[in-house]
Amino acid sequence: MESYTLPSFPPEYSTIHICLFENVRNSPEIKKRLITAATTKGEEGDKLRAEVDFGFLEGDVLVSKEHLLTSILTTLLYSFPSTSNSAGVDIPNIEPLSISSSSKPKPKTRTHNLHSELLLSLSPNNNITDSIRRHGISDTTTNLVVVKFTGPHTNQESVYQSIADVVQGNLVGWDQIQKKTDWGRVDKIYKLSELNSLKSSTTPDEILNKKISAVVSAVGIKNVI
Amino acid sequence: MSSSSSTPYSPSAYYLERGELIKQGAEAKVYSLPSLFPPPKIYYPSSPSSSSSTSTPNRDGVIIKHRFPKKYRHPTLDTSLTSSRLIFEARSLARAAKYGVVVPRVLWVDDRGGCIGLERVEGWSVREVLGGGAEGEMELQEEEEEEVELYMPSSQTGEGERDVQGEGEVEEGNEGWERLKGLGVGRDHLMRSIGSALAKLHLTTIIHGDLTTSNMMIRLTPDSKTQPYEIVLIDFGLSSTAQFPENYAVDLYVLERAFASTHPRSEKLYAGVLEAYARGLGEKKWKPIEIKLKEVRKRGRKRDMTG
Ligand SMILES: Nc1ncnc2c1ncn2[C@@H]1O[C@H](COP(=O)(O)OP(=O)(O)OP(=O)(O)O)[C@@H](O)[C@H]1O
Ligand SMILES: [Mg+2]
Repeated sequence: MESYTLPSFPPEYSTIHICLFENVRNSPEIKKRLITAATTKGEEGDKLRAEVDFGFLEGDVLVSKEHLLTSILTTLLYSFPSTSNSAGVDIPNIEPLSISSSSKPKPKTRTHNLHSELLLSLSPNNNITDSIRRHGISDTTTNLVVVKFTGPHTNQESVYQSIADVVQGNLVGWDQIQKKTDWGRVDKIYKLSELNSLKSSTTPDEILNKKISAVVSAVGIKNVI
Repeated sequence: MSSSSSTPYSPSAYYLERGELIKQGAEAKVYSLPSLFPPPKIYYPSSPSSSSSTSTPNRDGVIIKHRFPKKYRHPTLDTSLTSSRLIFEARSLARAAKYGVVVPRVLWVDDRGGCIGLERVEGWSVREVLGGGAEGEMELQEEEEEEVELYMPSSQTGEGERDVQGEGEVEEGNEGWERLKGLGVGRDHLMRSIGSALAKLHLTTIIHGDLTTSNMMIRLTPDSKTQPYEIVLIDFGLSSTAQFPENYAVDLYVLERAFASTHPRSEKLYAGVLEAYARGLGEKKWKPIEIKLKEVRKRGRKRDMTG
């Protein structure tokens, strides 16, 4: 698990934990728990939701760690947009949002929360259902990415434990992500056919690089398409 | 959000404070940063299943370009102008990438904060390599401030001070040029690469809008079996999509003029750019553009004479 703290965003959401699992054995069960949690009301529902309050992403359609990290930035930028273009101009030190507001800032989202918003950020269009189908966990997911937004003072071990309580699989390092990529699916999602038909003077490695660039940029500009 | 508090907030501010200013222009300030993410804290319960994961060397340098507000413009107008230019730049870069044109990756789009974050291209501008000296002459018509060009410290790029001298032959201490020479790459080769990069761009129907030798970078590609370096096009703030051959011709003409004024001794070399461009585009697409280019040149000359 890798944990990144981004001081530019409200502290409550500024730390992002990312895990990559392979050989995940209980994806259908996780999926079922997500649905139950979403449809159960009251305190019981809150408890179920808290247990699965993570972003569960299909690992096969991520092309690199940078791809995921870019989608995280895109999500946070959408949810906590700038209020003005005055950074470093009129006011030398702009206050982070949370210092100026006393209550917990609420992210602006098109979906339920930041975790589901992440799926939408990964998607090249604004169809929420599509984004869940393509980038969310499915019954057949074996390479699973788990993302959690927390405050900066969260204990890594306890965050990891709460994930391990849900996921049955092997945690692996992020250097493994590129080996998991299912390019057939990625090509379709991000419409990369042009790159497959590049001239023969382009080597497979170069094409791969170009594809990764195209995918990362597609996610980077998602908020302004 | 805007209702709850009047304190301005911008997540880009954090980067602008920490970034290193590498260029201050009339429209934008350009900052360089090692990454958009601080180094992660790594946690693996037992021993990590793959041990190398902790220390992947990061080649993820970032450029943040801040289009700062202009005081002489009405604030609302300024915000919308700035944000629409920025959005155009972001979209064009993503579109170019999708069609295989080599451009920096887009990593951060904070349109309201006036900032775009891009993959940092490790290399030199064509201008530096051709010995064009500091940027300035063309842009100085801009009213506000003077164009000051600063340089990345060697710690960022692993390079020494670069050639800041004026016009003329390629000088000593021009690292980019030395490296290219070492790889057996001469100016003609460079011109051909520029031409074919432009052809690739235009084949996507994108018009760059500000083709100068500072807006093209040279990046070495030691891993490539087919070429020792590549041309990376940057600065898409004035880009658009084209409808007519004339649009492409104007794009080429802008570069032609930039060559003439910045690299007077390299002017003849520009023919090599067009040759490769024509080849990249193919006869059928090139012909109408060639005709327009002649017209555009004629018009340009007339305008010069009448002032
Ligand atoms: N992605 C990048 N990687 C490396 N260097 C860059 C990158 N983007 C910009 N630079 C450097 O910063 C300089 C200025 O950037 P750019 O051309 O985008 O801005 P500008 O000319 O000030 O913008 P505009 O003409 O739109 O006002 C470039 O000439 C180049 O030296
Ligand atoms: Mg420029």
